[in-house]
Amino acid sequence: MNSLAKRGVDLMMAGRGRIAAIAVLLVFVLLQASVGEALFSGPRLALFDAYERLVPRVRKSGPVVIVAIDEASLAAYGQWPWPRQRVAELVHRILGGHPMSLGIDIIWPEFDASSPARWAAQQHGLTPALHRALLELPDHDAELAATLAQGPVTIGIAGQRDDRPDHPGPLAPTRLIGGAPRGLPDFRSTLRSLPILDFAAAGHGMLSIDLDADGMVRRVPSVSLLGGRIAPGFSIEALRLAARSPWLTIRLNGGEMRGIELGPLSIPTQADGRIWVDFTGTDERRFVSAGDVLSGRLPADVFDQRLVLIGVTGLGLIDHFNTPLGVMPGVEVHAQVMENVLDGRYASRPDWALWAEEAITLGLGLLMIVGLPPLRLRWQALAATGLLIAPCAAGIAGWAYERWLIDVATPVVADAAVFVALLGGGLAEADRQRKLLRSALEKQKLLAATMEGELAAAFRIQMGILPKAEDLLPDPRFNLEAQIVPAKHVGGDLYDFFKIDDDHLFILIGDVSGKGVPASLFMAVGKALCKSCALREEFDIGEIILRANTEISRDNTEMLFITLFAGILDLRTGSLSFCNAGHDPPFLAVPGQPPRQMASIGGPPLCVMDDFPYMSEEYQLAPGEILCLVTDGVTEAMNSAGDLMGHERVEAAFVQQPVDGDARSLAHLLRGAVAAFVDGAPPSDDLTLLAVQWIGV
Amino acid sequence: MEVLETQFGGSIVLSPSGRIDLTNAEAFKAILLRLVGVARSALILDLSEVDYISSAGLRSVMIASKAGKPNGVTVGIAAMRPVVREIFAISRFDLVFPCFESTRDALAKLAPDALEAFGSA
Repeated sequence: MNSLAKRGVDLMMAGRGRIAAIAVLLVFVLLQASVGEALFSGPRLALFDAYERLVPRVRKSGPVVIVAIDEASLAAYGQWPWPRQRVAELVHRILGGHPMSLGIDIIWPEFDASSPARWAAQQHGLTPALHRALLELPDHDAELAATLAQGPVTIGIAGQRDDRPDHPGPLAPTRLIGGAPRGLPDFRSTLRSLPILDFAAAGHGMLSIDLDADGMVRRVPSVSLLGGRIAPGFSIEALRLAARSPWLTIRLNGGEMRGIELGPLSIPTQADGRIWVDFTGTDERRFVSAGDVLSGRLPADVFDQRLVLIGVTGLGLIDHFNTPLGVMPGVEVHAQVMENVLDGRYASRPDWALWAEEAITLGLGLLMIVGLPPLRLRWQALAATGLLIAPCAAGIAGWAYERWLIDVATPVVADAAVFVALLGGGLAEADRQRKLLRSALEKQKLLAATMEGELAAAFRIQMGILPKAEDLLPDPRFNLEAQIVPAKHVGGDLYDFFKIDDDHLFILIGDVSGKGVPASLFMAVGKALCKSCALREEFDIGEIILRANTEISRDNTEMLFITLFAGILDLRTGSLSFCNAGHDPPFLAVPGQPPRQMASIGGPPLCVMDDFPYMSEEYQLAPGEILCLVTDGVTEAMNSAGDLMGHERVEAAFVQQPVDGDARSLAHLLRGAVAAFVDGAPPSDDLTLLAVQWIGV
Repeated sequence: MEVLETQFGGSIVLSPSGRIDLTNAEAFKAILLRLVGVARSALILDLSEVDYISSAGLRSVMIASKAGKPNGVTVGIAAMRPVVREIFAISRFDLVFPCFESTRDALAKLAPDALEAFGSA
């Protein structure tokens, strides 16, 4: 075994070029993993374009019909923009053909100046009779609005990055499942149609199309943020109406989008919500002319159960885009997205794409480094060429069969560089690279070790500042038990107890919202503040909490809060003066009686309202009565079925307390009951309890 | 956790469902903070489908409520189930946020202008 390893090392190191080649390979692998997305985007996108051109999508069915306002329509019906009355007629005729959904790739932000009343207002020299007659004619915008409301019509909206005021128009309700999306296109305000039109349409979709740095359309956002609200893309919204889905469902995993669901339609997306469009070239068969629709020259069933889009194509190339398969109108890009969805076949960059690409780079690179040097130069070149062609073939096959966008260009470039390094040798350069990498690795190890040390230190400090029951001097008037079990190493629970003077015992239990180092630090600060207030303020517990709340609210940048129960027990009389800031009320157990929870008025947790008037309240303990304070790690302990422990189970545990039991035995009973209930399920929260028995005089 | 966000007039109704706890409190906070930036008068949390909310979830609501205040946006709580109602009662967060029996009540009190849009939905 040993000699085998030694031979391996010898093989790796033999030949000067190998060291340089390994360095080049490592650099490429690291780059690819870290900044590859940006660094290699040029060759990568060129490769993806080549995929699309080599094996373009075949248009199977024609579920989408585009009604084009083309040159012929403009020639027949006059210049654009048309009076809205004419658009209304077009929409009316299309809806009469029973489409599943109609998307209009147009926004009408201004009113129609050719409406009769508006037109008349701008003319001089009209006879009063003609003026009156004009005023009686219907308003074009109102007519269009009435038509839009007649069917499943989606109109366009667009995002604007400037700070123009935004009117809050309607958008599809959105259902987010599994988190909050990140990295969506984010626009500050919205360009919308006139409110009368905007509110008449059932659907509103974003027309904005994302361009890559080279001006090419490859992906479209399925959803965007418009002034903070989630807005669907135009094609998605038109599909939503076709699917008759009352809302847009967005499925996420953490901040990464998995896909969109519209009723029965499920549309996978990239993590940033975009969809890679699987294009065909522009295709005449998708289009009918708006002029033919208006003149009634089309067969009656052309729109029946189809998805129809209206778009302007006849204004030169204004609304045209570059795609990997040539120039096409924007409305055709939307149509292609809808075809992708309805065919259920998507171009995608799978989640594992980066790993596959890394594996190809690394695998081929190592193969070259190990396998090539023993060969003669001629054979080396031939073998290298073969090794570099193989991933290209795999990439094309992945695209052709699965529509996977796997970037084999980066591995090929990287491994070509590895080959060059193998040939060239560059020993000094290789040494430098190796040192560089080693020092980076050392630094990382050091950092990890330090971090671990700091966490361990935080844990020790946290545990160190909590008092232990054994440290109290024995007092025949009471006994006490306190325990804390952090769920993660550094938790947010706290307790405290100390004697203010011979006859007064201060007790406190609390729970900081949140976990980890910030919660733990906050807990330490909160506890110290309560203690110093208690030692200053004599015995008014309400005043102590009030002071602590003001102090601690002041520097609360993390917006954490503490639920807390604090009290001062007069050991002479058993009278407890207490204050409850949003904490679970303490359990009370008198030997031989059913347990119950203490009633209190209380207030919200600390740091929630900095001016809340906390007040002291009083409770009289009976001799032998135990006051048991717990955090939600006890009451909300969860078993593997997801059930919570609950107050009833806590009280049930108390019933087994023997008549001569003390605080310690009760605490043990309770810990045992929690352990039995969760039955091995990992704790989700810190578990803390503090029990005090007042024995009496 | 799953949430449905719906706009009524200048107000937003957010209906989460399931458990809101440490595992999803950050995502919940991100959604709430985005929406208090969007709402004009009120952000109503319709909790009728929420089984449980932990202190981390309450903290998300508190942060959103504080973020909304300077812009005049009130965060209201509506339609709590008994378990969640008890959590709000024990933690006394019912003193901090306005709580209502139903989303309609919440809108009527906090955003009367949105009531018409709500009624027609």
